[in-house]
Amino acid sequence: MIHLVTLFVSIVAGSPSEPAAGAVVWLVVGASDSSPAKIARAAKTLVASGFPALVFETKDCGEKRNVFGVALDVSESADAARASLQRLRPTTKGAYIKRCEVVSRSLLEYRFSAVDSSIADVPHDVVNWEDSDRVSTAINLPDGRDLIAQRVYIKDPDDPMEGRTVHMILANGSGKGTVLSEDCFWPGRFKEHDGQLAFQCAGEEAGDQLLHTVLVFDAKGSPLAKVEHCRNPSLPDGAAVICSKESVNVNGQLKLRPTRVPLMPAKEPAQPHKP
Amino acid sequence: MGRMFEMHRHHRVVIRGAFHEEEFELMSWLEASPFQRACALEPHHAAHLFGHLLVLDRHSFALHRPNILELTGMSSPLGSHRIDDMELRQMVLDRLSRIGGLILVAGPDLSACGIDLKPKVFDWTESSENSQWSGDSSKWPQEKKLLSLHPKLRPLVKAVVEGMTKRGFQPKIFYGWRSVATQQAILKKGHTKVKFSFHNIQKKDGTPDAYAADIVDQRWAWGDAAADHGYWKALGEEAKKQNLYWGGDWKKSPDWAHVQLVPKEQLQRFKKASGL
Repeated sequence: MIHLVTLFVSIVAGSPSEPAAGAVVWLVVGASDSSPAKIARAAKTLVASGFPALVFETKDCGEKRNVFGVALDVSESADAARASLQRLRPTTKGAYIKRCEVVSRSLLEYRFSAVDSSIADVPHDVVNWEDSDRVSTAINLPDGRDLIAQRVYIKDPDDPMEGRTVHMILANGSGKGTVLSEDCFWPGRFKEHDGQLAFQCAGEEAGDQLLHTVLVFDAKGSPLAKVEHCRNPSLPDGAAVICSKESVNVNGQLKLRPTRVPLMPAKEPAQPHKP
Repeated sequence: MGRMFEMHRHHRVVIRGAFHEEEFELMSWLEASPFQRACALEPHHAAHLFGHLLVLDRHSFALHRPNILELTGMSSPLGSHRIDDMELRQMVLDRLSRIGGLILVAGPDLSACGIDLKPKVFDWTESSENSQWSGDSSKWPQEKKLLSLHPKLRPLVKAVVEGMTKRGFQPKIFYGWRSVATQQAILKKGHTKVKFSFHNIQKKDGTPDAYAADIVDQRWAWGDAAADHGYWKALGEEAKKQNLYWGGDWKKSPDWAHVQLVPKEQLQRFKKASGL
């Protein structure tokens, strides 16, 4: 439940309508930085001052040079943005308006923060965090659906990953989504079949190898299968998932064996994700 | 076990010895790398060993005569017809006996330089010399893996291994220490999620000082059978008896084979202490 709360607060409230693909918006920018760690702290400071804050990347505005910005407001007209800026200026002196042609199927289009608010709390002395662990990404599937790999920090003294966590969310537009997984490191190998979706997440370490878990969902995002120690999923017929079962022998050699796992009707409903 | 000569590549001859995985390579001193020269058998010993093998396996010597002729520089059609086997053998022995001629090198599967026909007993004494800590540390002998651990961890891991053996398992340390370079290489391949772990801790001079070990059953390693036979559960119990931290307790990302001396939050401190 705590995880879900973390997810909820990461979405900016107060953007009632979603722009069409490639729509132009005016962002009231309160801070910018090339470092995801620094922009997370800047956003946290602004939120603490009572501002809603959405971290965006300028690449989501189609720009080649990518930096992070904190959008205090996302307006669909220049006039609305100016009014917003006038309102915000007394407390955020450096704020300015940025015109942005939103890249279709980007995080900004879905109003998902590129850097989650929890990232501001990552301790300064962590060993295994990289910038890429701090930045969420949109994954565009060939069938037109989009997934959000939301990278967050969850404090847990027993976590060898130092709190590095990736939520997988099936985006439904307007900052809404369905949580597919609350912990899917290095998601990959996405496969679709008639709305069903399969992908793998990196799991346990085994000597010099990394084992994986395969997850399968129906079109609504309800779980159909979870196969531990398996990789490279495929969905041949909608009735089963085929993946390569992993084992590592005493010499550290990875052995892969094809396995077929029937897809079971979802017992639990899809987990909604709404702001 | 029969002895066998085989051409490995141009101007080199690989000889399989009498013992399991025992292998030697006959090569030109001039073509050998500095490492191979350093690892070559002492000349008198090499000649004695080679002569011993030839007596036992005359047929293979004849079969690979052209290769040996090349090594001795007698490969011209004229030369090969002029020299008989006895002369050729003597020529090899002469060249093995002197510096700058031929050398006999222990093969890649033999860990020690200068190995003789008897199975080698490793003597990995503690030393600050880093050269002995090179190579793939997952392939080191168990004794060496134990020595790559921090002195406080060593007896505890040994006790875990003994405890598991008493329970009827066949425990084997897969990793003690692992170099940072190896860690980086594994990370680059996407085979680990961390760039520095308790396996990578070293003294400031680079000598291994690992605070973690991975212990598997040599029959099942990381296969599902390990859990099915209760190996991981038992490993966790034995590790806790020694007050070690067990990776199987990590809810989010379990590391079943992993035992560790100190809690995870000390990683940064030990990284700094490693001079990294």
